[in-house]
Amino acid sequence: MIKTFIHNKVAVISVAIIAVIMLMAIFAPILTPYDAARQDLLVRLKAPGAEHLLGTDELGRDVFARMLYGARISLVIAIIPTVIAVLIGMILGIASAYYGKVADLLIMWFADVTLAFPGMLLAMAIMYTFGGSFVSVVICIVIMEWGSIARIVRSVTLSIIENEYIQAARSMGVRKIAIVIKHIIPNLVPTLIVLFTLNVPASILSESALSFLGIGIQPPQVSLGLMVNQSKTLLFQMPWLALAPSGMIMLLVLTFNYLGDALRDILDPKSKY
Amino acid sequence: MSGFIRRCVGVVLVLFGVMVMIFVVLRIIPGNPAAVLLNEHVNSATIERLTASMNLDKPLPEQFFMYLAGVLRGDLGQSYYMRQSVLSLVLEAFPYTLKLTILSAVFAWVLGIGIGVISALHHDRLPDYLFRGVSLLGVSVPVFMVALFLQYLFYFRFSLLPLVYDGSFESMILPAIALGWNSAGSVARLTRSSLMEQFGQPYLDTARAKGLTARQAVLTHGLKNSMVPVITMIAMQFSGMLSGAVITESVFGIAGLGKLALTAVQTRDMPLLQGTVLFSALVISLGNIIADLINVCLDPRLRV
Repeated sequence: MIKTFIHNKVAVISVAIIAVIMLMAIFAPILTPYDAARQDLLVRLKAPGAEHLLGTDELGRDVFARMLYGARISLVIAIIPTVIAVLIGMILGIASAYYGKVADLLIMWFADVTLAFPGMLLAMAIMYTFGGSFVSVVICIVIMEWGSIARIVRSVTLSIIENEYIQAARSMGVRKIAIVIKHIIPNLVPTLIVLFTLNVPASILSESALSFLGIGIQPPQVSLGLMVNQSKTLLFQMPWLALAPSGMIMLLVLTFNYLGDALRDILDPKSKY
Repeated sequence: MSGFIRRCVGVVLVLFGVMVMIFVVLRIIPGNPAAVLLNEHVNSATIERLTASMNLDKPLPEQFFMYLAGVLRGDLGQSYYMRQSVLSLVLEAFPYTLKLTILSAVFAWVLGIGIGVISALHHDRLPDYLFRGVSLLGVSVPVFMVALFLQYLFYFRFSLLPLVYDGSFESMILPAIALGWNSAGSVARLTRSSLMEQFGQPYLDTARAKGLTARQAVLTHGLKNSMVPVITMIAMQFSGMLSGAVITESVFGIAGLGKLALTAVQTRDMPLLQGTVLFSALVISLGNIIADLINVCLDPRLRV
């Protein structure tokens, strides 16, 4: 499997790009002498140049530094809620497929309910209650994503259960929970990896959209969507202010999408979701 | 037909769940919306009077059943901030969102299906690689970025189209493209893979035996059969489009449902937010039922 991965150019290049961005975000303090929040009103709205790689914004903050620190939050927000959503989706998806009718009906009803909400409006309801913050953005993304993950896990689990070795294990009297842990979850791993990789870009997009609307990450924290929001009044005079963070969002989302597609081809060639 | 009825019952159950969930989410945090609404400078008697008039002094289950009874009568309550019935506000905003969504859906389908078909017909050759790149780019760009880029290009650079929505058709073009862009990408990807699955099916051989060229057979028979998953996805995207509409409407200043919900959050108008979300969920569910019906017409095998 690792061999196929190395031979898949798209996968290798995507992983490389993601690794570079992650390293840049982690080592932001080393890569730039500027602080993302420090204002320097003497150098407001400078065009990109030698001193400020991507220029400065209307408060004289260095755009390159803000982009690196923004990418930090965007990456963290991309990964934490996606992991939680995949875990919840996995547990409920397996429960739905493997444990009886009532659980199945209830869980799938609940999934349908969350899927019937337009994501952004549900997010607004959560923001109304909890206010815009890191934690509310995480809650929003988990609620938006777990339903479709649970549905896919359920259908994959149903096809795993059909296998003869599961029937054999059952007839030998292996307990249900042991079958789940020993046989079902290991067989779900490829699916889960693909689901994770394909939901990360969705999370990045949700976070940036919420922050763009002003109901996500709040200043003085930086996020890529928030940077676009703050730059939109100067869009026509200084387009690079919006271009730098948008470009970073796009690069991240595109790379994760390519990686997800490649992983799906490698791990799960038959699936189509 | 019984399948259709079961589907409708399912929708009603889901909408009930949506109601419960939105009701709970908006009330998890203790605190009196009446006090927030009047701000701190009024005396407690005024707050109490408003609390009572908004039924906020009743226990939560009672509040829920009063709300449920209202919804069944078509009454979504009164907006705190705008002092109007929520239903009339929602119905006023909906046509704008509907116009925006339909226009962008048409844009997305025409572009997406077109690109998907060309990609499939030339699969694994240059046009396919090119279009696959474009459609992956389509799904990867945030809506607000497309919106701002279009404004920059078509208003600022070439002054071809208006900056914000002013009621004219031209001013709806940019918002529609901005909103449809993502969907066009995913429609193209699914159309490509779904159409390629039809290649080599026996019914295409039959069509060719009747004298059609390979391309004619694919475009007439293959395309129709490949549309079933595409239509299901388009219906699911309707929900995504309502989400995207929030951003598009705020960038282009369209007074639709998304803008209404954003105003509701900013003015802490709970009944308005609740009503807007419930109404959107209803629209999405109806959209899903319509998609099912279209699919049954396209593929008689689905008739159960």
